[in-house]
Amino acid sequence: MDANVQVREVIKDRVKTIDLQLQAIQRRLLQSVDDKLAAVRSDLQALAQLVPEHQFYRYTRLYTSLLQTLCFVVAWQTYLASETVVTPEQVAERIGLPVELDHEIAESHIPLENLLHGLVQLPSELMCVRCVNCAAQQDCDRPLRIRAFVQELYSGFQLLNLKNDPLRRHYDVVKYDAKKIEEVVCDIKLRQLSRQS
Amino acid sequence: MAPHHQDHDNDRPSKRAKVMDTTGAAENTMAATTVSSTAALFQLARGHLDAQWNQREAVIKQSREITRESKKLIVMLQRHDPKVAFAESEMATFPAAKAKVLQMLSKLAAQFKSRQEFHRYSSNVKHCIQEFLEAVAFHYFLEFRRMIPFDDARLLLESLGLQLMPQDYIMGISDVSGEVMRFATNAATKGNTQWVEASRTYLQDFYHACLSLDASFNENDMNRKIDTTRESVLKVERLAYDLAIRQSEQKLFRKDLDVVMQESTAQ
Repeated sequence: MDANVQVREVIKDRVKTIDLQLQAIQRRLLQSVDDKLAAVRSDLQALAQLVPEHQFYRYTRLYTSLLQTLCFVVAWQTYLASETVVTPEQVAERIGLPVELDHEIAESHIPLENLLHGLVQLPSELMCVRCVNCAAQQDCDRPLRIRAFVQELYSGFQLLNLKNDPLRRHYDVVKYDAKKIEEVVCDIKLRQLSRQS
Repeated sequence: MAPHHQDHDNDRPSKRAKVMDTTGAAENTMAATTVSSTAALFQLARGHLDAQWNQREAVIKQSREITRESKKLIVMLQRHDPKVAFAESEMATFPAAKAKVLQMLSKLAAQFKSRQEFHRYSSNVKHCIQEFLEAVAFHYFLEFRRMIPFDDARLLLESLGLQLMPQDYIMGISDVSGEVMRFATNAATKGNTQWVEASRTYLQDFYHACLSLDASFNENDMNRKIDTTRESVLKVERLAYDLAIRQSEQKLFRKDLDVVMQESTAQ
């Protein structure tokens, strides 16, 4: 059992370092973060090595929120680059771990829930950072595109049969964010500020 | 529960479509391609999450049943009369009951497609494994008067297709002290010193073993269990003491009685 405790300790340490790096990324997300992400990716590989074989879920609690944040960062990055919803393949490529979709993966991987958690945080981020600021800076087309994007995410989440878990609670927040974005768009349209109205 | 806003949201697609028509065509096509892949992703996610949820429900249900049956095993063991040889007595139904629990555990293990899957549901399954272990360990104590070794327990569980985590082993074993204490109390009321002694030794040894556990063992329940074990140890020590006193009293009493009888018959 001492071995177990040791493994936990090492994992916790690693998780902390990666977390710090992720926080730095989040704060500077407007600039290119590829090099930082590469550092995170190699750290994550090292972490993946630490987990004993076949025991990925035994320690999953230690790094699940880390993976969620990571997915969020990648999703945010993808949005900034191409205004699309990141695909699991892209996530796997950027992070360096496969995403668990329909078949089971024995080695370290990203459970699907973590990807969903990452995605579910996008709308509020978009709302806070982008939508209102864009409107304030007279960039009135952006909110329309943001609205479309968020609707796409939102209708995706609506497909899920969510139970009473953290993902459900985040999803409820998305509802409100979608509504707020709608209001911003309404404001813009009312005043015919957008080129496209 | 708050009313589900589903109906209101379903009105939106039509509104949304109207608004979208007034925007550029380019935006529409781009939206269409990403929407289809996003929708596909979420369809996949739904299937995945639903399957996982269903399996978890099944595991929880089976766990609860196993816990219940294990508790019944323990009650059966408590009723065992220690004076009678273990293989006989009213324990006739015990093997069948135990076999039933073993079978339920195998069935539960069959749910997990791989060793990794077990860990995914380990928190749901933990309790029933501990309860089962308690029954097995108590049985072991009654047969051999000592604690079941970790490897024996682990092999038993692995033969069923499950895995025994050290934490579960220790938590399960800890509950046995309570049962041993209860058993000792029953034995004491029947004047069975042997078993009271055996219980006392077992509990003392076990308590010392508990104290040597690393403090970083991170289950909060464990501290509570150690306290309970200590209570059991104290109770059984007290029992042993009382029995010993009573027995020496009885010896003295009998000696005095003999003397009195002799004196009265002599007269």
